[in-house]
Amino acid sequence: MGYFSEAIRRAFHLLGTADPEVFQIVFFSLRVSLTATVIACLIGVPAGFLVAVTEFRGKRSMRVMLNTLMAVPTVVIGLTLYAVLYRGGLLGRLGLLFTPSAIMLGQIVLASPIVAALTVSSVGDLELDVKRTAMTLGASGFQTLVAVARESRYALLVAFSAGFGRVIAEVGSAMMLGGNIRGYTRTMTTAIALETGKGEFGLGLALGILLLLVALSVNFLAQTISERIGEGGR
Amino acid sequence: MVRHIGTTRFGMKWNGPLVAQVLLILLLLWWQPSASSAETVRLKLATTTSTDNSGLLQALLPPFEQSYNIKVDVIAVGTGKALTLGRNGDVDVVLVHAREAEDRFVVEGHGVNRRDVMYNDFVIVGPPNNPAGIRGSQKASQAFKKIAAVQALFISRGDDSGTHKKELSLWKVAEVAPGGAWYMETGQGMGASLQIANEKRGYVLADRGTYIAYRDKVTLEVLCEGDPVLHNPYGIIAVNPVRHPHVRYMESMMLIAWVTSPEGQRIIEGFKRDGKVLFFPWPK
Amino acid sequence: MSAQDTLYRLDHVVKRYDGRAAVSVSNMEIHGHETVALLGPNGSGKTTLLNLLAFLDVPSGGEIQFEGRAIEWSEATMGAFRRRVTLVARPPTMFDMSVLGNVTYGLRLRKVPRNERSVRAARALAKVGLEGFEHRRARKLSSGESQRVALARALVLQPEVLLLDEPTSAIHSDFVPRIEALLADLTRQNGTTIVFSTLDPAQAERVADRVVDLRDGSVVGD
Repeated sequence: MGYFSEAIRRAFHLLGTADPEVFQIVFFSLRVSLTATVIACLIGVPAGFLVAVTEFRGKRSMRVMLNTLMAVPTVVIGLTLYAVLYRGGLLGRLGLLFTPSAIMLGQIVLASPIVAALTVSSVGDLELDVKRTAMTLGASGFQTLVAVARESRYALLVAFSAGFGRVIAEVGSAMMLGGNIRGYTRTMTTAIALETGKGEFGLGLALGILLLLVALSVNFLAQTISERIGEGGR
Repeated sequence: MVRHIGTTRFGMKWNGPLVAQVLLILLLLWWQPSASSAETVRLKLATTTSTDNSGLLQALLPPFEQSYNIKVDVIAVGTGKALTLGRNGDVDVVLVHAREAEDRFVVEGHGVNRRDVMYNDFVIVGPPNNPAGIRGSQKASQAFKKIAAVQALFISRGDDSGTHKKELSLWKVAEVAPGGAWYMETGQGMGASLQIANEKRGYVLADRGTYIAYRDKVTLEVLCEGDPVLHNPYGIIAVNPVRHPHVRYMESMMLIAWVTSPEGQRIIEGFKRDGKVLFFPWPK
Repeated sequence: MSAQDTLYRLDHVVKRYDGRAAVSVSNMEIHGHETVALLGPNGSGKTTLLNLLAFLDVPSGGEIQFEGRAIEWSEATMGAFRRRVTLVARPPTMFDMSVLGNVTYGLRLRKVPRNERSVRAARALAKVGLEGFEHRRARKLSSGESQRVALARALVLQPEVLLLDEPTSAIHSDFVPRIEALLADLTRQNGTTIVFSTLDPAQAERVADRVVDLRDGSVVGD
């Protein structure tokens, strides 16, 4: 019980004094995770849509694979990308290891399957009909995409939130690929891991509370935006 | 439109939205959220978690960074991983405390210009009731022998770290092959291992610095210290630029020169935590 | 009937799903400004054929000529034709927005200014008997009402070719004559080419210039 009251006290203190190091970590985490989720949506939504509407031989296996990818431990994704990004790896000469880009890459890999899988499951016949209706009324490829996106905005919101949730909360990949470098690649989760490793449970929990607040704000904003988009029809 | 592939040709058209999407992705990827200016060189230093957790680097590095306009990125991992990072050229310089491994690192050509930086010592800590009766043992290996004899609970790092290697060498001298229900390998860092030892009321070999940092969190006491074999020297090594031409060799040498300079050594000597000195400068 | 150019010519057109031919037409023509009824029971291929004529689907085999030229089934050409040909599907898909939003969707795509959009929408809604429905949520309408909204949505674009899949199937019998009269007006006043499918032979005779009987995907007597 002592840890919880200490955690709440410290969380208020961190917020109240606007501790610069903590704020740097929070904004860094937000930037990386939001960007990664947006990119994951740009990849996952069309991919999911394609899998949903196209008939091809391996379709069922593809769906199973997507669902499985969602369950891969984050540290395994981290390890796999590490093997690619380190100096001896395929992309070693890019020198991306221990940079913010590496963390973002890991998070894109983590979030894309979730976004794709959720898109596949939510794209039903209705979305197909929406597409055909838009097309027969004269929509171009891009306009059709917009129409379908607008119609499935709630499903997209869920996909976005799920993808964002997975990456803002993960530590295995960020730690392996970023290196938890102070002021450079330290995220909220790697900071929590560090403090916990040092025995600073109260501080770790306080950071955890902050992380929840951040996630709450993002999801609230996303919900509001998707409702506004709904009113686009006039 | 339901497209059939396998029967009709499935063409991925290079159309407007696809191009826009790809461009957007590339743009977002290339935008690196970082605070550093183009001028400052970033030097990657791999060190151990215990070194980083002690807080020494936060006192030692900023003056160096200011004077030389170099930003040092500290990557704190286990000793094994730190040396692997050096071996692979993923970092520019390593600072660890595992003499045998360091020597091998240099002999195998992965590192150059190894220098002694500082030292501290290991201590054997354990529960206040001291079931193995090792308090005041002169030789650490004797203490280990007693622990094994009564099969008192012993917590090992089990992670190939400098501390772990030291522990294993002591078991060898004590002519004991540790194992069984009383020997627990945590595979974790010093802090975590201390906490586990505390919860389970077991013995553990710890570096004095981390123990001091955890003194208010654990009820473990120092039961054996001072044996010269418990000496824990730290070495800094530059990654071999011949093996890995991309490493920042010049900057690594500057850092090595700094930490071994009188000024650097003075900072090490003056670094205290809870009023206790954690590291001793290397005697000249 | 005025002099008609051949608008569509179908030459051995086949559309297959899972190996089964849903439509197989060896020879069919649609002329400009005429009204053609596709008459046949469920499963006779009416909807599939309409989708081909709407350039929403690509035939599995055979050739379709539009305005005398064989069609290359690329997105670019199909997109261009789709702006001249509109299909009212069954059941119609309503966008998740207001009735006004639905009806003006195509106008917004064509960058028609807002004032003109509302005027045209109001007129179209009046024609189908849905005055004042502008701000109702389209997804909450009855099937008859949404079918009429879908019709208004197409009418407002004044397409050259209007395709309708069982346009009065969900509409209350009181309204049906009004809709049929609407279609007749379209051809008379705008010269719109109309192809509609129906289950009702009497309706086919009433409304169309020509009736094409479909059975199991083929034209009877083909």
